[in-house]
Order: sequence, then structure tokens, then C-alpha cells
Amino acid sequence: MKIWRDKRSEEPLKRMLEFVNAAQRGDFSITLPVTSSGELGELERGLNRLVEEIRTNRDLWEEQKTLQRELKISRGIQATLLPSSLPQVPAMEIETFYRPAIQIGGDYYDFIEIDTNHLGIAIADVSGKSVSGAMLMTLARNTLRAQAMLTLSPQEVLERTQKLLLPNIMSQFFVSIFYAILDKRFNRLVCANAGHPPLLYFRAEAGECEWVRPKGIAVGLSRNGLRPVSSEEKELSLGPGDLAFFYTDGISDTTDIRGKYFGRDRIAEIAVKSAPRGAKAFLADLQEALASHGGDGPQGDDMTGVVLRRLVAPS
Amino acid sequence: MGEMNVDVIKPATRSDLAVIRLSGIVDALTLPDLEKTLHDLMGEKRFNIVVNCQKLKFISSSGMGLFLGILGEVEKQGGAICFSQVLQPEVHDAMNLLGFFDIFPLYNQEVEAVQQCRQRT
Repeated sequence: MKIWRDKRSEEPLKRMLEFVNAAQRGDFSITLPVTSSGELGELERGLNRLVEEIRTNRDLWEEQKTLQRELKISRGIQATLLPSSLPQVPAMEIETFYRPAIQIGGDYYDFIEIDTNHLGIAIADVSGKSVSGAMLMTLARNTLRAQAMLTLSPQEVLERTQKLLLPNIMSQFFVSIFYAILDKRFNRLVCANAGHPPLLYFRAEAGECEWVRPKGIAVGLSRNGLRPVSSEEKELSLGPGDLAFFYTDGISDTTDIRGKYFGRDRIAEIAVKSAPRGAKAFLADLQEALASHGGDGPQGDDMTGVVLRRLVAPS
Repeated sequence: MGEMNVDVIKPATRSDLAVIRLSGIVDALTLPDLEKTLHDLMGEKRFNIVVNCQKLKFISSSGMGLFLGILGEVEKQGGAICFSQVLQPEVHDAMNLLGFFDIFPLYNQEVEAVQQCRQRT
């Protein structure tokens, strides 16, 4: 068979070769002129499309890398907002548990040393994840911290927090907050709640749990601020061995492979069994149960918990 | 990640109202579909919206935030958003804890919600 070269196809082929070489070097700025007709023209158009696609993918990849970097920084900033150490309260054990989901989460907890006798304990869950959630979380945390220093009424702290936050929350966002003030002298805990899951209260003497649920709605739900976020306070007195557990719904809403929720009852069961062995033992057993319930599935939401337990006086 | 289905019913006799029947899971993955549905209804001036949750298995806080996000506009236009049949206990619990039903009325039946979901005079 006779192979012959067409003089007319030499120039376009040369240009195509240069084009491919440039792309291999990472130079995607060139567009190949389509000068030929027929199959050669098809080839020129095809090469342009191919390089365009590679360029788009490369840009997306670069963007993705930048985003990942920024997410990492945001996560770092968020981590610094959580208390770096646990407050020391005589005759009390305090332990925490924080496991964010893969994205940046919107959970936080906080301890506020109001004065020598009073410790503020806050736990909150911000709707929305990622950067928007983290920003609202930062705003909510700092607002609440500032207000906590001004009054010993947790209900009032939540009301003031809502008032200050409302103008700055975009309409689709809200934040649930459980806030309590511990009077260290009398082991008394005064609680208020803005739409957050209830507090678990384990009473050692009775060996029973109850749920403490002061009435209230999440901050940001009542856009005009006409409805109070917190409409009552509840007070409990921590006896020896009593335990209070603040948590976010990432714990109770952990689902197993069939979609069955971990549930609040399960948390109470674990408290009854493990709380007598201390705050650390309760958290360890809870985490173990959560891990076995959730299995290898992805963690859908942040899980946050704060445990407060009054030590049993040595006999 | 689960699936979500949104059935939108637009009654011939009520050009101001739409019923959304939500089923499955409203999470980050399915959120955009629901957002588009609500946005379209706003565009059609259907400012009275009944959300039937009979088959809703899960809704994330961002999903609830969608309804909150349009509530201001809906109310400005004299409309309302009502819910019916939030049957899944965990879904009901999550919405109730937040105080969602203090803001959005909840009815046992869709037909009842449709009757009550009217422009205020």
C-alpha cells in the first residue's frame, strides 16, 4: 500500500503537536486555530475541547485545595474558642466531650467564671455548618460570654443574647443554647433554655434520671424578637453523686445502619449504670455505646457533651 | 445520605396556597431541591404554604432554616406557613425542642391545615 503525505496537512499537524506539547507543560492559555476541514478539522476542535476540559478541572482542583486550606484554618480558629482547660470546682468533677463532624461544625460549649462563687456553663448548637455556622457560633459565644458577666439570672442572659444577636443573624439561621449557672457554695444549678435539648439530671440517691427542660425557643426563631427565648428558670440542687449532663442532639440523633436513633432514653440508661463510677466513666461508656451504635458510618453531626458531677464525700 | 421527594399540590380553588408533601430525608444533599420548590412558590405568589410531613423521616436544622428564611417574606405578603402530620417521633421532637411549633402552627390533618392556612384579614 502506498502511503503518501499530503502537503496541506503538514502545517495543521505541526500546530497540533505544538499545542499538545504546550498543554503537557501546563500551558493551557493557547487555543488551537481551526483551519482545516473534514477529519483534521474535527481533530483540531476535539483537541481544543479536551484541553479546555483539563483546564476547567485543574481550576476546580485549585479552588478545592484553597477551600480545604481555609476550612482547616476555620476549624483551627473554632477549636481555640473552646475552653482550653477545665474549671476547677471543689467537690465537683467536670468533664467534656467534643467530636465535630467532618465539616466545620456549629456546636460549642463554654465555662464562664462569673465571680468566685458562680460558674456559667453554656452549650449550644448553631444551625448550618461550615463557615456560616462557625461565624454565627463565634458571634453567639462572645455575646453570651459578655452578657453572662452582667447578671446571675440565666434567663436574662439568654434574653439579652437574643436581643443583641437578632439583628446579626440571617433569617434562615438559629441557635439553641442551654445555659446554667452553678453556685459553688451550695451546689445549686439554675438553668435556662433557648430551644436546646433538655439537661439530664441523675439523682444518685434515687438511682434515677430526669430531664430538666426549662421552656424556651431557639435564638433567631422569633424574628421580631417578640417571643421570649427563655420563659422560665429551673433550679436543681446537686446532692453527693448527682450528675448533670449537657449535650447536643448530635449524640441522641446518632443513627445506626438501619436508621434507628441512639435516643435520649439510652443516654439515661447509661447514666444510671455508669454515673456512680464517676464523670469520666459515664463519658467513656457513653462514647463506647455511641461508637458501637453509629458503626463505621459517617458522623452526620457534631457531638458535644459537658458533665458535671458532685463527688461523694468520703465516709 | 438518603433520598427526598417533594410533591407539590396546587389546588385549583386556591391560587394563594400550595401543599408540599415531604417524604424521606431533608439534609445537605436534598436541601437544594426543597429550596427551589419554596422559591418557585414564592415566585407564583403562593404565600400560604402547608407542609405535610407524614412521610418525612429526617430534617436537618438547615432544612428547618429554609422555612424560617422565607417566613419574613411570607408574612409580609399576608401569608402563613403551617405544618401537618409530623409523625416521625424524632422529627417531631427535634422541631418541638427548638420551639418550631411556637412559630409555625401544627395540625393533625392536612385538610385542617389547608383550612386554617389563610391570609389574615
